Amino acid sequence: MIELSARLRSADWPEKPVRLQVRHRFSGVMNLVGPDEKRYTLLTRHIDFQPRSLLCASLPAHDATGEEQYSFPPVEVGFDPELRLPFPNPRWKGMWTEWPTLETGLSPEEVEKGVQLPESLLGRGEGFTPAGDDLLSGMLTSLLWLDPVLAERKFLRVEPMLHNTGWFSRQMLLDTMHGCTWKRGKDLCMALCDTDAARLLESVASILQWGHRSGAAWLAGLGVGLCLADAHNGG
Amino acid sequence: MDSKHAINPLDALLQKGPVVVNMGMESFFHDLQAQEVPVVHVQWRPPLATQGLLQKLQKIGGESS
Amino acid sequence: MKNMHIVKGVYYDSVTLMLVARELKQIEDVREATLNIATPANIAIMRQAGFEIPEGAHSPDDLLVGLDCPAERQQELFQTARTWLASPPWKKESEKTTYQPKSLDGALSILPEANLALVSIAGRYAAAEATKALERGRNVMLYSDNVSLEDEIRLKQLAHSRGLIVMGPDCGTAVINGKGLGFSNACPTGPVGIVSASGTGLQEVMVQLARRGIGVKHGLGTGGRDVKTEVGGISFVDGLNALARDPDIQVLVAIGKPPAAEVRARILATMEQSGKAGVACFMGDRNHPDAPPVFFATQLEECAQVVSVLLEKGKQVDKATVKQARQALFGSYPVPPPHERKDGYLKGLFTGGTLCYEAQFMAQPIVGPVWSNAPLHSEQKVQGNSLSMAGHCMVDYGEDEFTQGRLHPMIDPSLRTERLLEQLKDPMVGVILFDVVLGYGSAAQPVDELVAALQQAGYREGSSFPTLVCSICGTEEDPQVLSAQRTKLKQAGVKVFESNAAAALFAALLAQSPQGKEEKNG
Repeated sequence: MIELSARLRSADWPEKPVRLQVRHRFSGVMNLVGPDEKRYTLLTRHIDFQPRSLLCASLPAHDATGEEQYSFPPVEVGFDPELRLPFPNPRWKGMWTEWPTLETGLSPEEVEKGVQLPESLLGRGEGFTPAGDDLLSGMLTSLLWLDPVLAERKFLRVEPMLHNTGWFSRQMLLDTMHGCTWKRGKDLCMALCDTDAARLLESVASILQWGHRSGAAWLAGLGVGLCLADAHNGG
Repeated sequence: MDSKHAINPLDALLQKGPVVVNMGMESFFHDLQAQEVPVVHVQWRPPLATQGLLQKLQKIGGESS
Repeated sequence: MKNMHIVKGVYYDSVTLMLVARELKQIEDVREATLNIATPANIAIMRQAGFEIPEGAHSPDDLLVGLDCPAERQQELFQTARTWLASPPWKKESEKTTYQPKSLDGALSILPEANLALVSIAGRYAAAEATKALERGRNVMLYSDNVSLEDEIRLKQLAHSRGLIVMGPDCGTAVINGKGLGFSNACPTGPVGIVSASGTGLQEVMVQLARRGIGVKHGLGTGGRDVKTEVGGISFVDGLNALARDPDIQVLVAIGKPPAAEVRARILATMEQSGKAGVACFMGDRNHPDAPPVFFATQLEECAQVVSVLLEKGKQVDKATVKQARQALFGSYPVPPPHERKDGYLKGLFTGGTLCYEAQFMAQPIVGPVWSNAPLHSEQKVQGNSLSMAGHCMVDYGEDEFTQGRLHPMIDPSLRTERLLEQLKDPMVGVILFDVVLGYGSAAQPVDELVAALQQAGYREGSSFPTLVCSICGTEEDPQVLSAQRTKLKQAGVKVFESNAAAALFAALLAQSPQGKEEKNG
């Protein structure tokens, strides 16, 4: 049994002790896999909150590698990964229109193909989460938000093909399909509904700092979805 | 001028002082900041590689209806 | 080892490229570092410098990074260059953690109250962005050059129809409500409004006004082509009319090289009808008799002098008072003692185009014909390195032939410095005249390289070297600080003036030959 020095939990973190096995360990973040094959994450920085994650004062020692029972004291919810958003402020349209062309490591042709056939992006590109998966996640986020019918039509064929990418990406995309996202993404979506330019710029910068290009790819995808929803809804 | 009462945008610039979108030389952006001029810098890139994608997004989105 | 790295499809502004190249050159092992956009001109320059660039389809959207360093460090230093381009080490941390928009519309969503787009991207893209800005109801300052005449006319007509202004293309300087845009000096604000078709002309007049304690509220630029027949002075006249409507402005000033006749007529009519006193300063123009409320000047400092009289005397001003003030100014210009005169040619090396033009206008009546790449009269035009020819010459290093693939000499004066040092060694040269333009936009240390080289060469005043005469266009409040630059130059033995006209006159008098002598080498 490993006792965690938990501070806050995401709303979807199980309240009872869970059996988990370590998958990846980074400085400040640990990904673990649960009996349901789902990803669970221990974090040390609030900004890294995501679905099924627990904010801890420190991570368990390095010798914790096998399957273990993890327990923690009762803590409050510090982050709700579910997106329940009003409409974005149309004032930011000029801003989101430029996101699809951000440097993501994917070519404009690949992105364009991905807009027609989202499944073509699965596992495409380099990185811990390939840029194609990040882009898909971003695009799905905004389409589910603003145009669920189009989202379903576009992504119907993606779910059965999720085996085409890695476990971590798969978890991210499944979370997205269930209307959940990580904190940086949710902060940005909320800033898009607001009128505060400084808040928006900060949240965009915060996303771009995520991974090498993961943030840029997710943002590009979010922009693609926003533009598609705009055009679909008649601008 | 559409209306007698609307202020000519050049006159408005001269009355209010510059509020600037800077596109190109970043040093101009810093000089404006140093003078406390409200300014946003555009990290501009040539449009060639990107224009097609945006147009296509419009088209694809439109067709999806 | 000289090696060339090519990065496809990127854009960085020329100052960033220069600064990264400069940082790279600080690294031990780096003998040369040069970063350029792959235009045909830059490719030619880099090939000439010994970098092999494969033949093939290079687009101006590609970046060339030339590094001369040991082979084993090439990749690492190239990566350093890319890292610095993406996130310059001199950038503030706060700037790195905020998002900069990538498009005009993105920027306008953040700053919807923006009323001006300052565009300095490559000329071939500039007209399209300027059009977008105008369509969105924003005024435009177009610093970029290489914008076609057709585009300029179209942009200005569009602006005019919407009550907007396009300053430029090739507009380097503007001041609005006392705030400088592009190349501009830190001057007080006050009751003067200027429209100028000449960038350094505007800077020099503002600085000369500041020396007289007079401030400028607005100084609008138009770009040099505005006063030609084809454009018809659209921005010039719209600018004057807007200044005329500003109740804070008491005196209107028009500056430029002589406009086309019909444009001149429009400008003068606008000034006459403005209800304000005005000074028209068309440099090198024939003398026009003053016609109150419009007075005339043919030199930049003279323009400032006349403005100061108009402000002082108000509506009561008469032609005689203005004439007196002009004469007082001309009488105040220092004259060199006869024993300081030099045999040999007068060579002028300028960073400011209008300052070069004015210096020719001042010197020609004294020394005879002055040859130039930007001459007073087309028959005195010379190409390329015109300084090497026998005769009096003045070169504007801001002309296209020197700025293709290079920064404007006001930002990077190194080429001018190099050429100046060559002149110093030439026994045929008697006097070297040059300008130093301070202010926002200009080099942070404009004279350091020159001063160090002069010390190394053993230059001192009164030696057998040619005499160095310089004018500084700047103020104490400028980032480079006028007095600091003046001290450096004086300590190096340079004769320093704070007026281009005064410096040019002094230099010309130094180089003035006794009658018939100039035939000797001619």
